[in-house]
Amino acid sequence: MKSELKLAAGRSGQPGKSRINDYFAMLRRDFKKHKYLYFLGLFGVSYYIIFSYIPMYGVTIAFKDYSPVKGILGSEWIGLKNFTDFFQSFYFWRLLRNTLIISLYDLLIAFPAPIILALLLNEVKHTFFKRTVQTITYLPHFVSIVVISGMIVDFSRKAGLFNVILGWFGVEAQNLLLDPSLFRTIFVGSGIWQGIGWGSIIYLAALSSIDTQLYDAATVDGANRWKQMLHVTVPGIMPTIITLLILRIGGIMDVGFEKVILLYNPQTYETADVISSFVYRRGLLEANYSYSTAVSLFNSVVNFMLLIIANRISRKVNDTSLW
Amino acid sequence: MNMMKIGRLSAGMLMAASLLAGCGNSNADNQAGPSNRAAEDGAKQVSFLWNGKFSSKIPELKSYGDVAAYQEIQKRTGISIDFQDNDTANLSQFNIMLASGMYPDIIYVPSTYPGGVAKLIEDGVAIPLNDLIDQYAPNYKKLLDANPEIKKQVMLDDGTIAKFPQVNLDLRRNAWAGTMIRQDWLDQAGLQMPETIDEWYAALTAFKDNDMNGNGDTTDEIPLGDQNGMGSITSFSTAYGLLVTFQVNPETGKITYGPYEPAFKDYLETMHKWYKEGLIDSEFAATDKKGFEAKFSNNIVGAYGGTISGINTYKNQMQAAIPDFKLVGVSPPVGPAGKSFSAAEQLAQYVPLEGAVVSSQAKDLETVLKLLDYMISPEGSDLQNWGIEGESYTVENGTKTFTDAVWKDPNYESRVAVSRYAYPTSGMVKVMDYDAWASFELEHPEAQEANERWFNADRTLLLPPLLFSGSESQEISKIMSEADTYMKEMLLKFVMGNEPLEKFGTYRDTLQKMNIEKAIAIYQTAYDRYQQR
Repeated sequence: MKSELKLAAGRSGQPGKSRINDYFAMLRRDFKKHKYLYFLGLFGVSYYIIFSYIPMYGVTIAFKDYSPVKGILGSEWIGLKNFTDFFQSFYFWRLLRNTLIISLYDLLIAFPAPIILALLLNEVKHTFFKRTVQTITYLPHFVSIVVISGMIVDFSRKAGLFNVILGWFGVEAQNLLLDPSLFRTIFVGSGIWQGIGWGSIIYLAALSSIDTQLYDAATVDGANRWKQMLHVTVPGIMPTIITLLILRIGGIMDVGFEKVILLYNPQTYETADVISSFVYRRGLLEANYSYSTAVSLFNSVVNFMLLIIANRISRKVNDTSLW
Repeated sequence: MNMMKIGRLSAGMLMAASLLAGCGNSNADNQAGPSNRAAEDGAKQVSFLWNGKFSSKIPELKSYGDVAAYQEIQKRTGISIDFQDNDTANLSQFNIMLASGMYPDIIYVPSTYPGGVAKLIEDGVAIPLNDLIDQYAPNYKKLLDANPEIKKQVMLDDGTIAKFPQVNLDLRRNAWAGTMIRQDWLDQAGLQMPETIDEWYAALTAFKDNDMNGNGDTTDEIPLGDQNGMGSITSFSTAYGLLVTFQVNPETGKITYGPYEPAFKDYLETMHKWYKEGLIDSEFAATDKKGFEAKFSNNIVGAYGGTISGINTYKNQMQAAIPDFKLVGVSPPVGPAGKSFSAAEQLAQYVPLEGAVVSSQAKDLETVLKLLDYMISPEGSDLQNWGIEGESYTVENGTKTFTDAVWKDPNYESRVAVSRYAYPTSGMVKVMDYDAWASFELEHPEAQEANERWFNADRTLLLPPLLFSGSESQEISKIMSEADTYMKEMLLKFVMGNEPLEKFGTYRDTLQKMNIEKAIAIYQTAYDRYQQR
């Protein structure tokens, strides 16, 4: 259904009244033919209209001095004051830097990890072993972030598990969460541990759709396992990788605050305080909704631009793109 | 992506608001039932939004309406109360209530609400009560007239009286926090209870150097522990005449911000020395209550700052294993500032910032005022502090004591069991009762001594509850959300030695750049206004 509409949209792109009429005629035909599909789609579409599009007018509070008593429409306009306050904030650059660095670590290390796991699992021929590894690596995904963080806090204590293990290598025990230089490692590392199995599912699915004849052909051409992976497997899942990468780049300013606020303390603010945790403190704890909306809006605009740029580059370079 | 989040959030708020509105409606429908019945027996209905989430370990208790004291209040006044509650972990639920535009008759305003009661009046949510109190609240009027200091704290800067708060006639009840030390360890080391900063240093050093807990390991003792990040170390700033927040300067009587004072450097120097020598828990900055309790129960912590309940809880928990166990409260240490200054701001608060206001949508003002007046009257306060006479307490020669119904409940410990009848240790619209509170919080003689010592400390540094106008509180929140973050961060760095103390000048300059002086000036004007009330 989607692809047909896309086609239709492409056709109607050319000017002329008859073209538009054609389009509507086609839409009608399409509607008649697939009315049950349209009906099913209605739920999803109305979900987004009701819960994502209609409430978007609330974004105006970024430009207002929002007071719950006066309501979203009744609050006074204050222009860009919230934005200038944020840009002039003492912590603006630090927040931006921390957010980007954590995101970058995530992109460079945590993003490839599930791909590598999927490729490794793909080479495993022993089904039972493969299944076991898969199940074990999925499990942490289902554990609540609060529990995970609680474990990290406990393990990082001076007498905690991490320190016991580090002690075997002669590292002196210290509370790891008090060292600003370790925060990013702990944050990204635990993220990989939690997400690697779950993240690999989509790649495994992509792997299974590669035509086995290609492998046979490669074998005939004398390619060993390594060459097969390099020239058949990786190109086979490349569109999936690119799509996910573009989406990830579109979320580069989003480092979730939940795990950050569970793990940080004033001593590690200098590396741990990110935009979202700052918004949490200002917005939720101090009930400064306008300010935090302005910061989030800024975030979204940056994300949106990055997404478009990444998509455009990808389309130019290797013909894979989101739209 | 975030835009969607915002969208969803506001949708959520809208939904919640409409749900709330829906609830309001259904409440109205529900009310139709009881109020029809009420109409028959002449009872009136008042809705009351409590500032917090009602929770009880006793499953039968689902709201204040199930507690005997409040049932009795409703019976005696002939007014039925519809108790609603409100999660105050953050303000969003309170704000959703405001956004819904449907206010309950009585709203208990959280102390964290920006602008406070004054803002609610300005926005037309709450109403001034001066005339109504004269008319319908004789008990409250009598209380305010007899205690000018309480009246001063209840009223707004312009003289408006708008709230019925929790009143602390006897401030001894507010001496529930301070520093505590292991007396049995002191005895073992042959030391007196520390009174000065130097004696503290000696005591903590002795704790560190000796095997106090007798497990054969001289290195596992933590002389000074911390249960919430910085609570223990910040309490030592009073020795330098400073608080780690806004305070009164003991010499000039003007407002200042403790961490911005030059003397703060001396305090940091001492703390850094203590930290470097291992007198302070090396993990103090990342310790939470759970982690601390584990350490304390392991018998390795010598002293810490916290609430009085620790004295009772730890004694009950540890005296079986350690017969000599004795945790005692210590007067705030004397240092260069020369006095034992208290850091417990509640000791300057007869009336906390929160309190119950009457909403502008309340229809039957007479009934609402009469109910609030009854709650704060001696009779209503007794009910809320002690429960039902003859059931949960008895009076002998004018002294009230709880009965075995509270002390010997088959299922629950006494401090839980009492909540069937009353809430003696927590706030509400009432005059708090020291004896009722002490029955639970001062279980052991050590706690009584601690209470006395903490109460007797000098209160010069402490600020009364101040009120700020809407724009003032916005300005303060803008300045302090940065300055406070910066100060805490630097405090830790200075103490832990990640930042040398020579940088103290730069630190002060940065605070100045963050407009800390403007914030101090705003506090000063608010303080002046308070004095002139």
